[in-house]
Amino acid sequence: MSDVDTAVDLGGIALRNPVLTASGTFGYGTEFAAFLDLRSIGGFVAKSLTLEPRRGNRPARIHETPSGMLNAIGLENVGVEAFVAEKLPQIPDGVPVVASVFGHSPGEYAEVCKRLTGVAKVVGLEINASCPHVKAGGIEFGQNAPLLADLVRQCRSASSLPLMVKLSPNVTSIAEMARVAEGEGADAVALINTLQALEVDLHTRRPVLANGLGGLSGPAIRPVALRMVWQAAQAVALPICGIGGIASAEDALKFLLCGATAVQVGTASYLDPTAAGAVAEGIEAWCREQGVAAVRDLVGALEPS
Amino acid sequence: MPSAWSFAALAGAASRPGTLLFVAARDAALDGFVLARCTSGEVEIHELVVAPGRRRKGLGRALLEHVLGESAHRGACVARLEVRAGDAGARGFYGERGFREIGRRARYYRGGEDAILMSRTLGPLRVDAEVVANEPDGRSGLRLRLRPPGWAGADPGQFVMLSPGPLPAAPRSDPLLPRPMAVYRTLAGGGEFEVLYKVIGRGTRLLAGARPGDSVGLVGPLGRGFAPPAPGEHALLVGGGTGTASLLGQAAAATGAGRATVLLGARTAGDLIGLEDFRALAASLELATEDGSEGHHGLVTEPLAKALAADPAAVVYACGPTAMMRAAARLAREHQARCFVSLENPMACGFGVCLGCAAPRAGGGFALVCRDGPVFDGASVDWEKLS
Repeated sequence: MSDVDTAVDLGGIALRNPVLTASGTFGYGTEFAAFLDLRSIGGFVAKSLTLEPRRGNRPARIHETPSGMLNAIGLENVGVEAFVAEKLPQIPDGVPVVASVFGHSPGEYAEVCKRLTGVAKVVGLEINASCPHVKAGGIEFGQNAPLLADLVRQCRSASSLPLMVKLSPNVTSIAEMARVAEGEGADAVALINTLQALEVDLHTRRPVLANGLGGLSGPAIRPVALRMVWQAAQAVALPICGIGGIASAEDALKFLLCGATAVQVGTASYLDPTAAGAVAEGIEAWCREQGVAAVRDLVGALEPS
Repeated sequence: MPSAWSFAALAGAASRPGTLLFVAARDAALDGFVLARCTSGEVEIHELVVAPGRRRKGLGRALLEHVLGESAHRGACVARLEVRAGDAGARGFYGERGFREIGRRARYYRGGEDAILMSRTLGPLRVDAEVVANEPDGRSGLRLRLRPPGWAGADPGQFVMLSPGPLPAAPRSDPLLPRPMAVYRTLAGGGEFEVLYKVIGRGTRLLAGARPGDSVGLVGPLGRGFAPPAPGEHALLVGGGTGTASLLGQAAAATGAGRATVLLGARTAGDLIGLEDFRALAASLELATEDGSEGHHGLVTEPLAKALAADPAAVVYACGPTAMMRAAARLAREHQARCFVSLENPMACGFGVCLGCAAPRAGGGFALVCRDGPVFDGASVDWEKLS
């Protein structure tokens, strides 16, 4: 039907269009079946999975901030076994699923990667090396180059699936972290995860979140994310999946220009469960209007200032 | 009747598995029919026809709602259909009922006319609702009346997520999140409903600016509401502040099933909302204000304690500040009465994805207020850990 070629290749993950949804904002996909034809988007990234189910943090877990929100959910998830046995069968055929992986040690990450390899519908893995919510977990991997290298190496040897490493923005040099992922055999990098942040209740003189610190998401972080995607694109040849405050086709197109091959829609799906579909539609419409024959022609096409 | 289907073709189709055929008829005269096929999570509407002399009486809408309801009951999540590209009336009819145009099939019909493909999801709606009215209620509340395309009613205690403006417009960023609001009451034969709210912050201030004819983004109805009151039951409905808005539907149901006593509390007389509607019910009504400006001088849980002492067989339904619901659940436990509360934790999405509204369960773990609630058995909540 379309005259615009919207297909992209995200490090071996073939997508019909460049719009995925971000882990933690799209559940296990089934929650959106009532609102959105899952085949209208490129695919989705499921909520991060651990070897065992996790209950998550005590409330308060979220807090609205200017043009954004803070969260500290604590990686509540059903565990990898329940995901494979109960959640995946409910996803319609033809919907690419990227599984997000999290663990307390590189060995645990690798176990989860192994368990997901060869499972129908799972077309790739996203290594959540950057989740800032769990004290004993991911933050160390994403913020420390040798730890990140070890993590990517072990996940790489555990799975033949396309491997995308989701980077933390809470670092001095995003370029260095992207190079580490590339050097250890990642097929793509995804960025950014939430920015570590704090909000305080003056009345109680306590942090608003029970966890203290949280992760900031939403339109407030979009320019920071765009800058980091651009910097990473200068540093590595790997395909990049851009994430951070994307709520419209215009937002997504800016990420493509700065070097992202695909994007993920995150917090915007809370406001409007059809947001990712509208972004995909809008990219195609914009390309048609601008005479762009293939979406991939836009990747990295930013003109100098 | 103008239809592309001959009687024989209809009879043949109706015998296929998964086919749904509903007719509207008076005695022997056929006024209209709808033919659909429901398979593997989808329903395809093949034909919906109303006889020329019987149009503009709501028959088409009734037939469509019936077949969609039946399809949802059979597990369909999506409804699809085709209309002639030149049939603006049909495109408008389905558009008003939540269908979106998703594609076009060139020269689909005999004679070369294109088909427009339309679809909508069943279950919660995600639509722009027309504002019918947005007027003061009492001294401090506001009453927003909405007409969402495709709205088919809500259970007492269910809620909607409202955005102060149409959803497909330029992305809104401040305030970022929609606001959960209880469905207060259903009107206009089920096609409209009201919410009661107060201006608290930026979100509700923007909502207060909505005028008749404006659009308000809506996702819903959401959550699990109150279970229907048992026959002969004495319901004690306890509302505090804006939590009162969750209770009107259940109070009305309780007056039909048995009897209802409504206890409403607020800081001052001016903070009481929905009073006229509760007064209009065949229920006894008692008010309480913290400053004594109306009714009992003190907390609403004080008259609740008396009412429970008088009738420990009563069932408590409570919605209001956490401290009020905690006290109501404690009183019910002391009297060995059953108690159901409607929790109001902050949430970002309303449909089970952000996991922000987790409420601690008695015995450990969390329930999601949006998906597992908002109504919970008071005994199932860990009140000490609920913030």
